[in-house]
Amino acid sequence: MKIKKILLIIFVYSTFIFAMSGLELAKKIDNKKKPKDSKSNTTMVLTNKSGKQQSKTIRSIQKDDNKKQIIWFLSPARDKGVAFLKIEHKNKDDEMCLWLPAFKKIRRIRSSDKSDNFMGSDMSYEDMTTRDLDEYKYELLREETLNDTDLYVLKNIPLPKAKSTYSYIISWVNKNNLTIVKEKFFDQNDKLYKIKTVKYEKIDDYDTPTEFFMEDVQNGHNTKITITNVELDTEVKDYLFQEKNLKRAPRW
Amino acid sequence: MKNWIIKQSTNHPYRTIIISIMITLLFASGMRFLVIDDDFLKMLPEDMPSRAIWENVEEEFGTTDFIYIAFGQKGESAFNPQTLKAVKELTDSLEKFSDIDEVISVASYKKIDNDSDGFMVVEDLMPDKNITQKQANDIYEYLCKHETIKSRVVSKNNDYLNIIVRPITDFKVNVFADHVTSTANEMLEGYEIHFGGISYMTGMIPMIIKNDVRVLIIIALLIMITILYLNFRNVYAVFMIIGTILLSMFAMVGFLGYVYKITGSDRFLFTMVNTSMPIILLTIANSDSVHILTHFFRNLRKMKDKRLAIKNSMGSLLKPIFITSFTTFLAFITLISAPIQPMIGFGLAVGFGVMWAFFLSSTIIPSAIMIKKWKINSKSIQRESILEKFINHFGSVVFDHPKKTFSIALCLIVIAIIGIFMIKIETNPIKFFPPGHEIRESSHFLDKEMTGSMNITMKAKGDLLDPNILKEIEKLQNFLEDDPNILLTVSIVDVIKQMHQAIMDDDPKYDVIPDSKGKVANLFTMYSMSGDPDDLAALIDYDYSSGLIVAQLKNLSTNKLVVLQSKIKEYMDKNITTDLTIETTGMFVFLTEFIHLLLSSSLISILSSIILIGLTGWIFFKNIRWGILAVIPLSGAVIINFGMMGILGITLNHVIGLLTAIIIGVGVDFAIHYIASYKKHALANYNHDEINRLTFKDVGYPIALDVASNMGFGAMLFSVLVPLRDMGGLAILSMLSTSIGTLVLLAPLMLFFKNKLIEITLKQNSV
Repeated sequence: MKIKKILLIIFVYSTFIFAMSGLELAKKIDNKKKPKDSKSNTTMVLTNKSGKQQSKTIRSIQKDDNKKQIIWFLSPARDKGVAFLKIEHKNKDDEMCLWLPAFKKIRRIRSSDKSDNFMGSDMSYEDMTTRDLDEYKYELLREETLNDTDLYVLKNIPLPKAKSTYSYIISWVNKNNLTIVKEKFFDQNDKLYKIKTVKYEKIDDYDTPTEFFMEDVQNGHNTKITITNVELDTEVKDYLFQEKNLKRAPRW
Repeated sequence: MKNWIIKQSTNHPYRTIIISIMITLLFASGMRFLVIDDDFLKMLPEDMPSRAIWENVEEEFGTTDFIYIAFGQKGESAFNPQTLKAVKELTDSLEKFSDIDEVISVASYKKIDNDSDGFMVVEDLMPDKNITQKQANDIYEYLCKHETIKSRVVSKNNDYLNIIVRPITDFKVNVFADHVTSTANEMLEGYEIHFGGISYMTGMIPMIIKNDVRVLIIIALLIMITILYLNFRNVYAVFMIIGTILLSMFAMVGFLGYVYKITGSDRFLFTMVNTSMPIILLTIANSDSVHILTHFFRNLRKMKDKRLAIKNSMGSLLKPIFITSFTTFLAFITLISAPIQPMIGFGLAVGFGVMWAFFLSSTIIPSAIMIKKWKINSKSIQRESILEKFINHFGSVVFDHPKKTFSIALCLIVIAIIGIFMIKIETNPIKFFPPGHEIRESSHFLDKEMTGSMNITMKAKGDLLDPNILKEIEKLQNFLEDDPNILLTVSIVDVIKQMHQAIMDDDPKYDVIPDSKGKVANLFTMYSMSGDPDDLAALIDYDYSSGLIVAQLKNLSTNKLVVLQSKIKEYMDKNITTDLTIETTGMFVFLTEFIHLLLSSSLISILSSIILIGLTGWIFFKNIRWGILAVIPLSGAVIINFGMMGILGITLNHVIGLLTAIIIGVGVDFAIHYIASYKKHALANYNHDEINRLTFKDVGYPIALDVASNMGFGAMLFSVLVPLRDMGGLAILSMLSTSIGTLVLLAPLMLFFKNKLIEITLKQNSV
């Protein structure tokens, strides 16, 4: 009888620990040291369900955890010169500006939909932004070992204020450095929607993502993003994120 | 062998019945392996070139065979919060189905607009399911500025909304149609709803046929039982015939199950085609039993001894009923060359069913006769039935005036030959439904109020960033829209023009194709910054080297579609100066080609069956003349049937092609029975005139009874589907034409050549 009681206490206590650990883990990930800004070249390879591919290369500069971003298209040739500026706002729609060289025109675009796809890829704007800690509920589901890497499996459940397109997201978090190596996204019908895998490199003491692979399992489309020439904490100034800077890409 | 079979029935009737039923049940047990597959697309041949183009387009752009749902209330604007909420909720619900790829409606469109702050806005046209009347008015105003979008999703008088549902590429059409219709009916209660589209029709037809055939078979069976009873006036005799038919049916269906189990091939699935198997077997399988029983009753009347009567009947009938069954088997086996995969299984199974009906008629019928105590003095045995009296009288007329009778038959055939030239080969899927039918009326509604429910798809290949190519596509669209059968065309050009106008501050003068390749490329890049990669995937491919032009059509016959296709080709040949190439495809185009292929293969099958039957007659009766005579009534019947179709204006379609198999199956039986009886009487040394009269008397009544019992197929005249009604009418006509072919054409002909035919018979016997 005593043993049963002890087991019951251990079970209840461990459940409590795990419930706490979910939020704690999310906090730890959120508190990880991040660069203030970054500059990089990005190659995006989009593959549709019949295997046809489209490749795009861009130069991008971002600041404040991707809340400010400016992009210049380098290839394909037909897109060269196109530039894009995005500034996220907490309490109003994001602003997006596009420089269209053939029209010699800057178009300001407004979109309130977080599910919109970024540059025609499988990454939505929601996938590209850091999750606000207070907009999600967290559950630590289990611990796993995959390819000799010890992982936490964390369930992220968006609260209504997150206005997420997903019903929940499962994240696999590397125990050693708290980087998210894999995520599964489930749609509002709880059906698996997308799978993302991420590879990291240590650059300037930061665990920096250098490769993303996002697969839309519902339509067979996928996107591979490779990030090169990464420069971190280069003291990017705010004035760079202005429309006038779209027309000419800076030299590097 | 013949005597051994007869002995088994007469000496060991119980044992024979038990063994026959047990073997039948063994075959029937294969029914558990039967796999029912309603997927219409599985019936279509995979190696047709048009299917390859069609599949290629589907793989690249997704399918364009939509289901259209129009709903609303006549005379009331659909732009109110309640109706828009309904469209939003239905759109959201449909999008959840795994076999639905996309739902196009007011609720799913993205608007590209400029707001008052000068921002270009890319967002959902309908942001939420609960909207105010003002938001509803804004949506209406936006659509009024974009007529191409509006005409796709709103009726001309703004009182109905249209939802276009696109399935995934490897969809099951009947499941998809069921998902869409049941969800829409449930969620749009209180609204007037119209469904349309080729996917809707092809999805609904198998279900309608199944329900229809189920009822019609029962009615047909009841008519058959009534006619048989009125003629035999004996319940036991009717029970024997119906029992044999049912056992043959079970064995046939079980056989198909076993073949599927052993081979695992899709050819042996139980599909929509196979639903007609019981009807066909019902018609053919009763023939053997009817012949045996009429002979037995007649012999019993004369001989007063059932053993002698049955021995005599079986002695003279076993060979002809084997030949008739075998030739019918051959006729169905020719379906192996049919372009539809399940037709192979169908031909093999019906062929088996026919042979099994022969086996059961030769074993169970004589055995069942043996175990029954017959009242020799009963009315049913002693008195001729009305039909028997009539046919004997008819026989006297034929032989009293053979030349006149033959001339009338010849005249009929000549008229029929003229009629054949009047036949129109045409299939219009919507005309499968009679005027007033929900599906037909809904289709007319969609033609009148919306942009139709059919479409053809053109794959345009070329550099689709090049304004010159885009302008040629635009010209082609204008040319197509001038055709009264085309209600709307949609292509990437429409999207490019819309984006161009939006980027130029909504100035209507920019609702044109941009003047440079760079500008077109910029527009696509702009869209990609906020749109879903799949938004444009239905209209343009990944590397901008091919795109789709979808032309929404009014309901068309397959013939008009062929004319339209050649008109497009002619336009392309004359007017296109760039590298643009166009391939026309779509399920409707593919179906058109398929139906024509099926029809031509049916005609080849008919011809090869006639040749095979002639050869079999030659081999079994050991002289080519008998082979030729065997196919004369059959050919006469085929000519009369097709001729009558031409005269009555019934269009020749794939369903009619299949019906001809029944004509052949039945028609050959009559001729072979006539020839076998003729030879029997010739050998009995009757005088020449008597041989003909006795032959007519011998087989005339069973033939007439066989025809009369099959009048049950008149029940099909009450079918929901027009092709089934036509099939019912033509089944009756074919019964009459095959019997006329034998009794009015073959009988006088054999009378004219009696000397030669009797000489051959006697010579063969002496050899």
